[in-house]
Amino acid sequence: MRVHQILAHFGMGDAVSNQALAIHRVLQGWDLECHIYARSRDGEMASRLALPDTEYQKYRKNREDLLIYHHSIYCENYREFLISRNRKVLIYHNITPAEFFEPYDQEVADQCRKGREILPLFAEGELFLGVSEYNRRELVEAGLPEDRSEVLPILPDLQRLRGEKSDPWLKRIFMDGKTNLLFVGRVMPNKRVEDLICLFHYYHRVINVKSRLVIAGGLFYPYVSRLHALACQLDLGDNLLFLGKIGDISLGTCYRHADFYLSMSEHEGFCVPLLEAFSFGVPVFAYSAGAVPETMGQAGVVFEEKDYPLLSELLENVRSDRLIRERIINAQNLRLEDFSEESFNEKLSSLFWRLLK
Amino acid sequence: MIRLNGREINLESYRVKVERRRLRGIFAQVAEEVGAGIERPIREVGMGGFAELSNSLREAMALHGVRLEPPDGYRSEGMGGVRLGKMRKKLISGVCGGYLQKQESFNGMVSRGLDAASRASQHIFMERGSIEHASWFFSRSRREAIYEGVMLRILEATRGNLVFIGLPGIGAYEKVLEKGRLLEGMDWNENEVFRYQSSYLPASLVRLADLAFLRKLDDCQVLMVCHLEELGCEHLCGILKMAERRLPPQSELWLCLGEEEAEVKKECVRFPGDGDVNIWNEAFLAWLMEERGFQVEKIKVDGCRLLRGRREW
Repeated sequence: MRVHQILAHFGMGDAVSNQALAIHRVLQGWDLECHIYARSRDGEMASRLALPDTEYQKYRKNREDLLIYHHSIYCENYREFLISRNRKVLIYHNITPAEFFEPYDQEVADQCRKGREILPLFAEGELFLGVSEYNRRELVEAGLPEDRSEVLPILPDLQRLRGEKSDPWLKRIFMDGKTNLLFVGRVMPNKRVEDLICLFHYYHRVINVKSRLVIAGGLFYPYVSRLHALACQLDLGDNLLFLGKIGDISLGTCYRHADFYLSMSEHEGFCVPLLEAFSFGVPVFAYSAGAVPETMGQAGVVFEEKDYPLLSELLENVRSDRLIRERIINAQNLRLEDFSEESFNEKLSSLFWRLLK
Repeated sequence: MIRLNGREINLESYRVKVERRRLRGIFAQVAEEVGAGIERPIREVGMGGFAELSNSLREAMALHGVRLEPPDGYRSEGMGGVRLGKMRKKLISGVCGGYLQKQESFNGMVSRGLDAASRASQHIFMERGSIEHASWFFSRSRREAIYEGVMLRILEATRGNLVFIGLPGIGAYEKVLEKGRLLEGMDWNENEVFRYQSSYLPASLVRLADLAFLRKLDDCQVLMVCHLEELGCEHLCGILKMAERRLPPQSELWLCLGEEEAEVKKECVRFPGDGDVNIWNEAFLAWLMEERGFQVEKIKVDGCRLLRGRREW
């Protein structure tokens, strides 16, 4: 039996690709022949690990093989799932609702809308996996059979950020005694970076002038230009840093020197950066939306209202009170154990056995 | 609702803190800015501080027939005096020798010259053993203790809203706040602003380079500039120019100079570790204020020298 995984895009560092790689490694450990295919591949390493999705066609007819389709955006290669005679599993990573993109980019909004519209077409599959309970529920709501749905949480690849090297430029910036507030993720409208900027503005102007907000992640330009306008309006100057997409060494440096991780995102299918922050002992403050409360579990600070003054006071309290900070970090470390390699392998193997029965 | 490690937390104490800050006055402004969201247009981006200063010097020179000799009251002695003398000579010969065609570089030189002139008065270098004494002498905490008593007297002598450029000290600041006359308090020192924020006081950070662009003075009756020792010539000129342009009629500009010049000179030293300290000459500052259209009055309160500039129109 071979196992084929098809993705829309394969790139080092993104959550969907990491999940595919994690599954690939586990299955290889079981001596299974595995392949990853993608419509587009980003970088040399990605091209070595994943094949073009056209390469899959020759395996379509094998009834013994297993096809795992990772659905995270509309991509034409979903048709392989429909016509394949393999045993079929869908892994749903969630798709950002189109409304978030409509004011900025109609094309992206259409891709998102179409991605959600085709969900019922996957009904032929044998197993439907959400990377969170939130995602699993969405699959069921889209009409996929509940008795064949399960949750397979993401296995975060935390080791890649833990190298000894650090980015000297970032290190110099971060180590100037200021309180560093960090957000990691693509700068997209659903992440509500404008809310993050407003919270920071209040905290910086009213409570702690010795602070900065660092935003690390690829930039979606129609949206970013509006954020720049806001930052300019609020006169945040060099206290707000947009780093763009950065490598693992730089990202590790950011986490290592961050005092807080903040998320105002209003739609998340899982949110891996929360766990990355957990692993670096950075207290997390996150808005309760999508799968965020589920990923956070009983750890960190989760809020349901974006009350900037109140949140700023709480931030300052956690910053200055070592005991509260330690309590949060301990709870986060505990939560991180739920996402260990062992529990991922266990879950994957139980799903596999279920499929083979 | 906010949950910490999965448990709902009691927000009452945080609400009390929010309210405490709101009552102190800064909340409304920031809340307005934050509430305005991202639909607001980008504000007009001004020229760099230096370009602004150059232009103002150019205007002033054209208006006054370019005469840049230091005023009569200005004297220099010792090591700094030689440097000042050379600089003065260079300035004057520059003006008279047809440098006007190269005004950009000339203005740069003027600016550096004025800075040098103020530093030139720091001609007495203290012995090594006195460095600790010097850092105390030029510390803010010592100056703030002086300002505290002075500020009460100024409050009695003036009317209307105050804006501080350079925070005067927590004690003095609280008194202004209690009287309900504080419009805005800003400082260029991050640590200072943080100290005020930690005491639930409204204070904002302003970059030295942005001093010339402050647009918060329309409703201000009294503009108070403290800690002049930390300001360079460009920044001081920027403040004066801004005061000339923005302050409403019948308003006042106050410059806090601290103790007697002679006393300061005795203690004068190159400030260790934290950049140079500028000891401004009183007559020179008065001249700069008059150039900007203020009627200047020299005042001494509790041993502290102050320059009070009034504008009548």
